[in-house]
Amino acid sequence: MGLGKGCYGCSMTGVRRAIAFNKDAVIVFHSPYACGQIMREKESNAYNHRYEISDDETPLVTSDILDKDAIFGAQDKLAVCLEEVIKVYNPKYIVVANSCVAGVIGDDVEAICQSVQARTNTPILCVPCFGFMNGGYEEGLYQAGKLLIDRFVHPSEEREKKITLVGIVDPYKTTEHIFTQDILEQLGFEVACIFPGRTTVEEMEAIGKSQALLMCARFNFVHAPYVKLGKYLSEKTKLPIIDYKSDPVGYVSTLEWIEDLAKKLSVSKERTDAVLNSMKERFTQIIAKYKPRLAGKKVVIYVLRIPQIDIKLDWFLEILNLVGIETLGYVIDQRIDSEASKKFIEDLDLGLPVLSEDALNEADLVYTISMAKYRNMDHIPVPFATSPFGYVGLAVFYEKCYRKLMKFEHRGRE
Amino acid sequence: MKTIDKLDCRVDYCGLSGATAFLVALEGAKIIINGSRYCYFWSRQFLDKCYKKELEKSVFCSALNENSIVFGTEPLVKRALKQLLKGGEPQLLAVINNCTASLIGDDLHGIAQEVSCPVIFSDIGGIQGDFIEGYQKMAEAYLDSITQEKLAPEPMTVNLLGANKAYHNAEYDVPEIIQLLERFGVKINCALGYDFTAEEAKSLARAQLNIVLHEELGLGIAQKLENELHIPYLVAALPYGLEGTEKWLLQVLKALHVDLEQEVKTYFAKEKAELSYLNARLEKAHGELWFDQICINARTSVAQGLADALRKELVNYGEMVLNIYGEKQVKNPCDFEKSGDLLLLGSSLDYRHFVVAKARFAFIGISYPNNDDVSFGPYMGVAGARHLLEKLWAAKLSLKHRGK
Repeated sequence: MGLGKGCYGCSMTGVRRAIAFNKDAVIVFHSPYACGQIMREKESNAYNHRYEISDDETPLVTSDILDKDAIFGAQDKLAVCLEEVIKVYNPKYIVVANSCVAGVIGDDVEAICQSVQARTNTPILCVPCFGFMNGGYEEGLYQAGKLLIDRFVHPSEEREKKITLVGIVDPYKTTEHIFTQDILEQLGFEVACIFPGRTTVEEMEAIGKSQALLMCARFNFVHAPYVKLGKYLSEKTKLPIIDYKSDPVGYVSTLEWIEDLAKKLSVSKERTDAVLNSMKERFTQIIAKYKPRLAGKKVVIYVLRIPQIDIKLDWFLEILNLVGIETLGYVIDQRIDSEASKKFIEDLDLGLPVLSEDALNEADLVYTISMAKYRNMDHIPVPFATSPFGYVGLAVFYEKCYRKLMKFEHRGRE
Repeated sequence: MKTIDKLDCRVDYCGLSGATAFLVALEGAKIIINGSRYCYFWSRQFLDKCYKKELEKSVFCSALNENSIVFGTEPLVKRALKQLLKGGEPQLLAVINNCTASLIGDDLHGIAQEVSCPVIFSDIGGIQGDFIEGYQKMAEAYLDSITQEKLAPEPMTVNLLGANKAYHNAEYDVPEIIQLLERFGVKINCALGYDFTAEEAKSLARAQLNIVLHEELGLGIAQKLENELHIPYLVAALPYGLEGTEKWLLQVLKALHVDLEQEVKTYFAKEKAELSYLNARLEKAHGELWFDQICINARTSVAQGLADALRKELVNYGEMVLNIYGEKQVKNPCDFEKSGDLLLLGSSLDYRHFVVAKARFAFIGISYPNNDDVSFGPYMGVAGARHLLEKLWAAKLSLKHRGK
């Protein structure tokens, strides 16, 4: 589209992501009401493949700024909206996200929030961003999380055998959360809460008693604000942040990840070994289940678009090798600049050849890099943005490969 | 009584989406949204789904940044125009300001000198109105920008107003209606706002009658055309159900001063007999097609048209509640705690509430966004009546074994 660099997102969406499933809260968008529709639709799309529908979702209300408010301001409208929200929902706190319209009009949103807060005794946290201005999506997310930390999180001398996860939004369908929670429980720890997106006031007030903070969602497009939040939370609570160089994807890196995590949590060697053995057993079972179905299949990696983030795919080759899948090489889409594709292949450093487009028909399966625009194609996207975590993600990925092969077996390929 | 929270506003898409939805239906039109990328991406994503194709070659964005607030938006609009012109000069260019751009208040008319095609400038963001208002405003601006040909009205020729693919199921409903009209000798001159060319839009006067499909969308345009071109218009309840469709068709033919009543009645009698027979067999096997509560959430014309069809001919029920999109509060909540079979006709936003409330319900998607139901056929017209009845029975049977 040639729009050039710059802000893509809206800070209100970032705020919404930060406060997605906090039952105690209400989010108010100081905006035209259609901004609320956009958010609801975005979530409606996400519910089908990423989130589980639950009653934890934080209610979202808009203040309904209209044309005429451009002249007289919409401050009174916001005040009325906040008071109505308190009356109907009785929240423990409110987070106010502002639209670009509020910024251009020049409403003193902070003053209104403080005034209503003083009158009603309900904490009202005003995010200092305005739509696409002041940093957009990532800044909105960070600032919302920072406000929660400033208001509700305190350091503590006491310690509980709990870990606070930073960065996950929905726990039900994310393989990262399912796997991480399982491993932590096996190592003798509970999940204190998921910050900032799924936590109550009580849980936030108790974060200081955690043993450590664990950075999650490490390798996806919007990780930067979570990293900043993790650092800020660590400074406030004096808790260590556990971070890791790569996701636990594939057999080797999963075991290394568990060992590293156990060491950082000072878990005994006996317990760590028990968890590692249990993990090896699970991997063995999964590989035993899928190897008969997948072994001997020939695949190619089709580069449709070069990703905007740096990626490594050593783990991808490993998980294919584990079940005996043979990777023939790359096929590069003709529309990609040859210099750019050459650099991309060099950076991946997998030692695979570049093949002609004929290989797409010869392969049993085609894995594509950056498939979003081309959903019609009967390929499997390489899951580099949301990696298949541990044994959980591995089973999900192998199942996908198996079902695609079954489809071709029953119907053939075009 | 457990209900949807009253502050869960029945929101709708913004005026920008409505204005863009009107223009993407015009062949050869290209649009620059003078606004932030986020507004652009969300309008595009919605319309891409409605039109079942990527509109990146028709809809462009100036991508406002913070500096634009101070220094103005013209350089960014010009940049977008340059990108747009790479695909060739359009037949019509529209520059639509979103909320922020409209507040900045730049005079962008100088842009018109960079192209030879007609240009429309408009302020239509969320603060100026909702989808309906945006659509109407753009339709009026477009009609004002073209010169109508002086034509004599041809008998049995109509324009279709107030239809757009941004309405759920329109891509099946509108062709079904057109097919029905053509079956009885009615010719469609222009489907303004649905799928039309500039030539068709300039020859509106050829029509003997304007048929307004969705009243909230098309009535304003119909009134304008009546004032300016003296084309009479017809607004009737949407053709849902066989009786509803028959009534609608008879009204159209009456407005065209054509007496085909006997042919229409004969045609529909046959269809009704067949559907009645199928329905009776299903009732014998599964009992009455009954719902204890029916909740319909949609825009005005759809909600009222469907309510009529369900009430008069398609199902039996205890209670029915209607909630109209665009109204700011839920006026008629559904009672989730009442026992029995609950049928929801609405969007996925409504669906979510019912799931969270742990209601025992069946769902038929009739409004966007719809991610929780699938439809590959019309709900209006004759084929639509069959399809709708099929969906109602499927809904009923899905509840049969679900337990209390």
